[in-house]
Amino acid sequence: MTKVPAESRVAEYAGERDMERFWQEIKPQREPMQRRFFLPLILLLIAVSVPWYLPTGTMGRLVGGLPIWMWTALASSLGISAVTAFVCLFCWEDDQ
Amino acid sequence: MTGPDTLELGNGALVIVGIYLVVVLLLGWAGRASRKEESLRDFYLGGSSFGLAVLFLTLFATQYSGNTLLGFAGRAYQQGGTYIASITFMILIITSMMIYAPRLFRLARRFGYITPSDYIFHRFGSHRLRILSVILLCWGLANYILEQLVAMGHAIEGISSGKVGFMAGVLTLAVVMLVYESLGGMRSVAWTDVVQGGLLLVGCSCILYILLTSQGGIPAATAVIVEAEPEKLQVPGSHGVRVWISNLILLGLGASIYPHAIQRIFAARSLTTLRRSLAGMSFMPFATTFLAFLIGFMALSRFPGLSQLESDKVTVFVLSDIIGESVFTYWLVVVVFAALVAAIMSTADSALLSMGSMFTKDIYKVHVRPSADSRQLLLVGKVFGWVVMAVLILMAWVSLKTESSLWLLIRLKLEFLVQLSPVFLLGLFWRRLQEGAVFAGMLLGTLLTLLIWGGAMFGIWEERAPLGFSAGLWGLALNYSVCIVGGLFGPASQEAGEIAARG
Repeated sequence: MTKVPAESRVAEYAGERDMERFWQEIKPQREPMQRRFFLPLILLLIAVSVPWYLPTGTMGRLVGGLPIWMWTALASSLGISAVTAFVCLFCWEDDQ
Repeated sequence: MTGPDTLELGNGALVIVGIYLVVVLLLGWAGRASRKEESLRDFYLGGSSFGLAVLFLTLFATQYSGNTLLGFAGRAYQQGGTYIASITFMILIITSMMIYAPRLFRLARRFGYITPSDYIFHRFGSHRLRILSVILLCWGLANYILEQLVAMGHAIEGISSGKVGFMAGVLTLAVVMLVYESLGGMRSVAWTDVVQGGLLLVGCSCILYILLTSQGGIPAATAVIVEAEPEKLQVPGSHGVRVWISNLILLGLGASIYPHAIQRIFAARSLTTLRRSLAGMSFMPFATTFLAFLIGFMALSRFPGLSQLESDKVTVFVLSDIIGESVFTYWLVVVVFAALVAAIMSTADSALLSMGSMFTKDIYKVHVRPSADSRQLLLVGKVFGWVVMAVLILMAWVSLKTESSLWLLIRLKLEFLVQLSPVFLLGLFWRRLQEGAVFAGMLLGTLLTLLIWGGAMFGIWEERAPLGFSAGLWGLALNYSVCIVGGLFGPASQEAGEIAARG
């Protein structure tokens, strides 16, 4: 068992509650929720992915074996992945 | 029509699974040899030292379970095109994390959280809220493990063509899992996840390629479905749309707060590794959930008319359909089955470890033996894991023998877990939110979920999901309402440093 120096250890939480410090420490330098486009864009993509706006019971044209409404759901999902990855990589910063 | 009863995998598959089990045991031992100290952080979070490859593959192997390849394919078979929603909700799990993870990760680093309940006690200072949270989280996890145990039994039965029975399969895999987990904790679990996640990724990619290129691919399957079951390709009605939205919310919010997923956030070596791993995870549904969807979708054309029970085996049926094509496809199917076993084990071991950490840190250390040192706590956690597993194996065995409707109760998993969502999504952002409102919201939300579910179970009313929305979502709506009203009109913030140790 390799020993780690005491100063490099992260302490284990033991029930202390200094709430002033809690609220002082809570904010990262940058976070996705600060970006105004994040949630509205995700909600828009979700709204497009669910085919509530198409007439019930229709199939529509088939492209590559799947109806267009299924491709729309897939493309919107890809959009959600892209937005998620973007905010994760570029809108989340903090001291290491 | 039914599919083939057994899959002739021969001895090759058993040899591969045997090698895989030896490898994970060796990794378990290596995880123990690499431990840095006898501490809860080292055992349950791997000393918060995971780099990009390990963190990404452990997140991946944990999120995608046996249920993804077996259960999701079955549901795609039953629901048809609308189950494409499964890809969206698996992505939304990561999207939800983007809301709370930046703050939780920062707090965990500053204050040394080991379990999600550490944050809950720190934020709200309430023993009763911590206990209720641990009960709901453990209920969800135990349920999840039980599901994996049943999948383990079926997988081994399938791989051995029935030579190894259901219970023998469950016992073998469970004991191997417990041994490597007890040896090195999270470090062993994550290192085995690297093998398991790698197998899963290779297996899924191969099978996706075969499905898209053999027997005419998607267009040929669709041509048959258009003739036989056109409704599976049609735009859903308003009820179907509501079920779709319900699934997106329930999974997107509920599965994002699985404690073993949160603990992987705590286990990251640095913010950079965490960000890169999560960014990669947001695309993984296209390699795994999409595959499960395609398996179910294509099975509609190849094995029409399966009953609901039979449709749970569509993955086996589709694999058996391609296994005889060539030597290459035989070994491909063998790899996929090994990947299936790996997916099941990697999810179950993480869930079990997470339960152990909450029992030792949040219950035993606080309420049973506050003076216990790290060594004693780790021993208690390991014994707890073995006992929980024994009980769950017994339950898996009993569930095979009886068909009581009471078993429906244990299907409540995400419906309970999602009741913790306000704790994270509101609690990390809204200072006015106080313990009383959160506790009342969580309790009332859980009770309403139980009431709706129980009423349908005992035939008092018909709908388990009124208007297409899951019982858990009705409970969640009540839960959020109580939290928001309580936060707006309840007492102002507690004084700094006050410990409201209610209990």
